[in-house]
Amino acid sequence: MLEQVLAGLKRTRRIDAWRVAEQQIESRELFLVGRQTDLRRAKQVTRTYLTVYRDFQRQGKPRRGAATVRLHPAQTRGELERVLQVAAEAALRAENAPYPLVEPGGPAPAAPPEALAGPEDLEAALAGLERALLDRAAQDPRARLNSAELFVERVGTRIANSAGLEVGWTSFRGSGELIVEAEGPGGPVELFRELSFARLRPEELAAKLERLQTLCRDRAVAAPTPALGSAPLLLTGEAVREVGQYFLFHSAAESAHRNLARFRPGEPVQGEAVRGDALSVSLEPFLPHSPQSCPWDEDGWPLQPVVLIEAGRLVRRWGPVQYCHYLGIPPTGNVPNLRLRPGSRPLEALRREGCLEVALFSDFQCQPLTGDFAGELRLAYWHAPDGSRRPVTGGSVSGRLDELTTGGLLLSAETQALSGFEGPAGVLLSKVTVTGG
Amino acid sequence: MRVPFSRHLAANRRRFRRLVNDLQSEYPFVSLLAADCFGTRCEARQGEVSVRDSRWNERGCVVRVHDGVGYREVSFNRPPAPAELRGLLAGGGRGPVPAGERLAYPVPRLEPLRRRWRGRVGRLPARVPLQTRVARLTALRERAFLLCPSLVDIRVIYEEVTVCKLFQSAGRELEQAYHWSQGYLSPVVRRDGVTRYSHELFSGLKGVELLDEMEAALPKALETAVELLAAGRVEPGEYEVILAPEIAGLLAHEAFGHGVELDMFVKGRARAAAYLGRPVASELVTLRDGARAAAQVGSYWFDDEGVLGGDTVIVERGVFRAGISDLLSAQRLGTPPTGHGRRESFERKAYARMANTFFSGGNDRLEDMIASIRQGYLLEKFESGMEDPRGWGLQGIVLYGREIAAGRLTGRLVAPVIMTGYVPDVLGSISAASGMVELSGTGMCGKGHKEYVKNSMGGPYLKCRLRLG
Repeated sequence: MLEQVLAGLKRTRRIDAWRVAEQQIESRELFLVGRQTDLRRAKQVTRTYLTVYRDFQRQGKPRRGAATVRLHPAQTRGELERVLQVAAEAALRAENAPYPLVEPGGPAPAAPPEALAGPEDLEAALAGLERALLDRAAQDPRARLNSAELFVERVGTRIANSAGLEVGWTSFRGSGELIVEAEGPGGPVELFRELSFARLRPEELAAKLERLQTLCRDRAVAAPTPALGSAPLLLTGEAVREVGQYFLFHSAAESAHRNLARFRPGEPVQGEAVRGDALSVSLEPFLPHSPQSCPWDEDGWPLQPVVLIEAGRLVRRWGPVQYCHYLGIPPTGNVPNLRLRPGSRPLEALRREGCLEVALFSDFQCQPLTGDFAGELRLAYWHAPDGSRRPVTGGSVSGRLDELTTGGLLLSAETQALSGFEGPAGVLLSKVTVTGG
Repeated sequence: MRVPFSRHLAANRRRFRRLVNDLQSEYPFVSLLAADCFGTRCEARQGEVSVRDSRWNERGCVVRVHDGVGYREVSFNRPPAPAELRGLLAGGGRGPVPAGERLAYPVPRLEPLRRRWRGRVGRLPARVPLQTRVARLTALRERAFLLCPSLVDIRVIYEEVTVCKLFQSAGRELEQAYHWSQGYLSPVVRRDGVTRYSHELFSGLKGVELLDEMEAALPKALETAVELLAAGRVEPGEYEVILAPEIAGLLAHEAFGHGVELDMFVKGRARAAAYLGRPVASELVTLRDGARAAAQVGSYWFDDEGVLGGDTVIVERGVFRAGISDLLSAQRLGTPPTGHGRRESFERKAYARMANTFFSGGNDRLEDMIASIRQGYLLEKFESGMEDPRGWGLQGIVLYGREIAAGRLTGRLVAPVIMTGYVPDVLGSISAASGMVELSGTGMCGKGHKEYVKNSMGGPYLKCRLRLG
């Protein structure tokens, strides 16, 4: 496909520059209902995205227009020619300030491309995961596996541009979901967990199921969340990663370009006098567990680790070539993984003063622009100041991150590894609105 | 204007049929869905214009076979060699999975049918130069900055998609082409260090005429964003509320839409299964879903399994009447398929999914509903929602609420607002419904956290009780 596109581009004289990103994806998918297979699927697809650029002058100023189109393997030569013409016309209409393409010959990426490759035999990989899942499910009859979906895929990526850059690598990704159910005094309850992984480790999948089974048994006996009014909130799991998105947004070159960024390089991101833990945030191209890991970004920029926030101060902005060029700063590329340095206090210490610890939200939402966050509680633990602990469910929490980060925020010493994230297992926010269940 | 069918699908119709016929010699049931969806997303915002293909663009096929026990599928956009396709359908040469470890399905019998459907819109994008469409978006952006001194950024987005699908199985050949578009005006305003945003949303089985609606709504979008600069926080608690039509739609969708997707019944994940024929809501509530129940972005003539779209009455005057199904769940449950088998794209599995979900209208007036509330909120503008079919919990996040005190709107706003509740309590508390039903479909709906499809939702203004935080 890529060769056809490159040949077509050579014939199109109206295009000043181009970039192609192609993914060849092969996947195997398994859908389980209880212990039975509901469906098996296989997939072989090629996704090709072409960006064409036009350079021109508008009112005496240099401009660069870009348009991105998706190409399909089944396109005829005539269709491809037409698409290129349309894209060339569209690029002329999407005019922006100029920015360069990534040149070849940059430094070697920090993520070793060979480390991303996974198993050759996807059928065998899926079978191994299925076995681990069903073996673990059989060990806990009180929290049954209701259903599961498991996807494994191999993705071959190639990126090329008209400046002569050409890079490529192969990666393995796994994803899916687990649903576990348990019987409680109020009837059956369930919990759901999304899966996303980069290493084929059946034992890790089994551990995730075991954890979910434990949580589900707790939900089965959970009481309604008390109407606390406001309380310290201990976020765990994916919600910690979502909090991190707020800091990424306000340190991004793209946000600064649009006048949306709150943070400025060299300035504090949590106020001058930090109460609680000062944040240290970095971006990592390669985390072994993260399916987001990649050696080059979508522009073909070779990715390196980037320190963004150190001891509560913004060290530098991050971003792809276009927005960093607009700000006149060196690009970092679009680095895919967030690392948040853990704190010094163990989780037990964070719980000691009393807090609502959320194990699972229905859907934790954190608006990066405003810092507003909210979520309904599927399962939380109320750690009362007297040291007692009880599972609760229902109700919701809400608050604003900017108020909370300046008002005191504590990070756990224990860590967790999630898709696109490595950092503390828990974050304690000092005072959050809690609506009872 | 009539929406033309994909030339690619038309040119390959016979080749697809040969593939189906060929596989029929080995499998008791074979179907093929071929999709060719194409469109463009244009966006103008502070300091930038972008033009790119829509995320909904796709071109490829999914072949489904029944091997005597159950189903297998292969998705591709590079036609595999016949032997390779057979290998993929057979599980990579590992042979069939032993019987007893699979859910068994009867071989489906789809009635023979040959039909072609073509949608209509006011103005097809192909008839309006891209230059004109983009220029209208950038003009909106420029006008916004002139109108609003507090404006920091505004996203002006217009997206247009032509959907063409071809379904083939033994005796059945269906074709459809339709076009939808959607638009967003999302201003970001700032004053005294406070940043807020709002949005006006537009969608429908429409063409470029959608831009007219967007242009007319710009002042309102800006006005709302500026109003939000002074918004406070809601005091957590249970309130009498009025849901604007888009929030009524959110309630319909999350509370009793996902909960009656019949593949959830097959898995034993839906509490609604125990309530068929029983009251689940106030008598004022009639809730429907269907691809042919409304003309919005969730409309189609046939679903991704070759089943004709319909109009399912889910709740009738408070009583749960029927769920919505894909073909497989209907087979498992022995119910007629309702035409809700939908895929995110040809690359994904079909699930039971909503199409256009909405509450029917009532006989009440909005003014009377406001006048009847001592302390509460009028909730407007949808942010996000999450289903809980087993627990019947409800999560919805709305952009803001307008305070109502002593029967009047006070002019005070609270933002954002998370609404939660127990589904039967919320639906049972509905005490008034206005007449006019409005649907919108600018978002996308996931099953859990994936499998996104376009659908619409809506209703009239509804009065009910909810917990707000």
